[in-house]
Amino acid sequence: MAFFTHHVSLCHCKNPMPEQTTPILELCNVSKRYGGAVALANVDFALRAGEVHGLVGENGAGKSTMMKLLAGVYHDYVGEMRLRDQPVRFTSPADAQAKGIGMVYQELSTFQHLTVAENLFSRQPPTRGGLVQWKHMNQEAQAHLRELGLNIDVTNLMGRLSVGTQQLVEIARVIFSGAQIIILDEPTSALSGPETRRLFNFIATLKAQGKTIIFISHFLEDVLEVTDRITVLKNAHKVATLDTPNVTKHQLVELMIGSDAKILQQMYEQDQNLPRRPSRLTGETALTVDRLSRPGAFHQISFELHKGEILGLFGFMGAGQIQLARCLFGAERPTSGVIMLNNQKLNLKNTTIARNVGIAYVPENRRNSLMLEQEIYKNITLAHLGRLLHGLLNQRTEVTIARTQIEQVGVRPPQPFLRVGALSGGNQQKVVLAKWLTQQPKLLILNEPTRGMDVGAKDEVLTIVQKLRDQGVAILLITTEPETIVRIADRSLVMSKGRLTAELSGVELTKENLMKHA
Amino acid sequence: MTETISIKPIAARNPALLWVRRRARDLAPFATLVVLVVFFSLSSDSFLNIINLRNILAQVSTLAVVSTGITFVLLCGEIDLSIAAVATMTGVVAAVLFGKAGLPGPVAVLAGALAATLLGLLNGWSATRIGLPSFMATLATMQIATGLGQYITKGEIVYTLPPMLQYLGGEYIGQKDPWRLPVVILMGIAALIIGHFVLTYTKFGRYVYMTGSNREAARLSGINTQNIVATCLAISAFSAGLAGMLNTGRLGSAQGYGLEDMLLDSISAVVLGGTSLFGGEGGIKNTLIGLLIFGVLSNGLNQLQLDIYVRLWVRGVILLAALIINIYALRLRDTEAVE
Repeated sequence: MAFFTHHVSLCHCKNPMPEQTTPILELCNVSKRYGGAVALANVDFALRAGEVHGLVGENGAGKSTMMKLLAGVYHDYVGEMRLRDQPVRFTSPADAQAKGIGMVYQELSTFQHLTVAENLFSRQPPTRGGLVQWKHMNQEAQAHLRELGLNIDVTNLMGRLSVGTQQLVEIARVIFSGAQIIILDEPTSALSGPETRRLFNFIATLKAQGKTIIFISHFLEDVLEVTDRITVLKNAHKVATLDTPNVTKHQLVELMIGSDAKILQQMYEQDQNLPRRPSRLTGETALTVDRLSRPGAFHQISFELHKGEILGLFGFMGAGQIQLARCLFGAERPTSGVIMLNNQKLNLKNTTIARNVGIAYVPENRRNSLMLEQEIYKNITLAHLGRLLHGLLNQRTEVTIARTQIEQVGVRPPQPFLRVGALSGGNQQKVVLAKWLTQQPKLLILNEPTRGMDVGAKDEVLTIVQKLRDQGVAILLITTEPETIVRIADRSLVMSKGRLTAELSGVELTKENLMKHA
Repeated sequence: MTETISIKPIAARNPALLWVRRRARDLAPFATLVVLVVFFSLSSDSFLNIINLRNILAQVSTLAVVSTGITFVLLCGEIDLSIAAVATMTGVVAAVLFGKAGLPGPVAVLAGALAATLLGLLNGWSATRIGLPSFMATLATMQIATGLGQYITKGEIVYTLPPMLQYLGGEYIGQKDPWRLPVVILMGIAALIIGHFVLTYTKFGRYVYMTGSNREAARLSGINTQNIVATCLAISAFSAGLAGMLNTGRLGSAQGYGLEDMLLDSISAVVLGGTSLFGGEGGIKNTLIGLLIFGVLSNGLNQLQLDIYVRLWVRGVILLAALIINIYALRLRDTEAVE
């Protein structure tokens, strides 16, 4: 059969296929451009039925373009897509779904106020005479989840479930609506360790049931653990497709970023730590937090942070670190405890007070930190507008200030009048940093400063952070990525379920120890 | 790398087209205005007459004052339903304090403005400290203000007005007809200029835009967004009060009813001009265009001598068409962002 189809097919691509496996989905010499920019160049890609196929590459390598092409979002590409050996060109995401391709986006598209059953049936609930058959719907939804090995009560409201569980439901929904090929976009980025494990078990179950999975991720360890084969993209080209058992993380990184970019690899290579500076406990105390509590979020948190120190705060999602950070910036109020900056007790009733005493705050997600519709310069001058300009607004002064900052943090393109929304994620994050650097902060709170960034942008942002430390700024670095802490923090706290569980420094500050205490 | 690539081709394609797209929010209402002016000039002999043009301005002048205030509220992403009621009540308060209580004119006017501002602060307090949606908070205030206005007048019409209001609302500068100018037009223009100045050249104005653009981001940039919203609601009530008092001067009397149209008229004028109902985009320039569209349309339909029963729904249809054009213009702009 495979032999036969190989000769009849019009496909000119050179996807090497062992005789016994037919590709279920194929891209043959596919290219896609946005205006003048090439997003995919002559890509061949073959997906075997029943495999878990990893897709890796830096930001901008073409992963998301390829994903959107497969999911039917784009149809203006050059080249051919073949589904079960038939040429196809999806006209819309609905069309792709009807033909058995399901997509689970990183930002889940679930209905938080509806039950699990309603979410599963959201596209077409069972009705009789126009009325929803509730009992029938719940029974069927429950049966469907059980079939997939999931033990989740379908009458729960979606919003009550953890992100990890919601994701499993979302995958189940996609399968329920007929998907045989499931594309998972960064599925582990928001998951805790145990949740990731549960997802991998679920993927194994799906594989056993004959489903095919495309697993797109920045987390190379996850990709190496869960996939059968891996395709590496770089600069819009496919670099290689490899059998997972024969590849190491080191090789993947080399393929993704090229061997000349050795320094950048440190982001992905947790074993190879930079020699750390001696602990900086000698600096004066900048921030003192004493028995700070907020019920439901965190309890009895006490620590000190010194001038010229980067203090990491590691924890999995939902450990209470975000709420703690928000309390330190006056965005939320703790119920008890004391916060002191330079030995002055603070009463942070609102964010304005926090800003005025010299605290800078970078939120965990860019949606909460930028006005995407507004120009870059207005975003940059916003935080310290009152100190930067005396009296009336003056566009020329503002733009001059913005240009200095843009240059300092390396926003590209360096155009102050561009809307922030037109920038890439990494550059948007640089704008958020720039906003807080128009005045030297005393305390800089960073939430996930490098989330979702490509290696190069991460490197630039971390360099800026290190420079600020050298200038004497006290920095609290909150992240769920242990690599970032291991790389630049002088000391780190670990938070788990609302409590501080460890303080690590020197040789003890390793990825393993961070994970162990979280 | 990829960033520069994704932006340059668009800019390089056609700078003029790009300029038009970027300013779609401002240009679409302007085009609507031009079309209306051309249409009415051609279809009616009396439309382009100087006196008629002056009348158009006079007709939208008190509306301009209240619209300036509501522009602040819409820009920060809130709504104020109490403006017409506050305007009515304020007119009544000033007239009664002057005519019945015998206070000096300026004192009565100040007291009226103060009463309006207090109601605005009440709106601000319930919308920010309490956390009521401004829609509900101002709906309640609307009833309070309406009720107070009627309670004070008990259905009477008050004809004794502070002379200041008679002058500002109803007098002219100059003597002979085509060239004398109603003072109320100057008041409208002054309100718009002050509003524009505050929104464009002060830090407060910038904070208003940023609060409307992304409230959480503004808050996490150290802006006291609650104070911004509350201040905007106070400004809105203050300008409504001013408009209400000017209106009594224009009519020569104060009464507890009759201004109900002002609420929807001012909001439609602001939105017609291209200011977003969801905050962050637009401004007084847009409000000015919206007011002119509104004035030209109402006046023009009168000039056409349409049946009064036809006029209202025709006006509604044209307003709807103008709003649809605005939306399409915005889509055009947004496609630029996607490319």
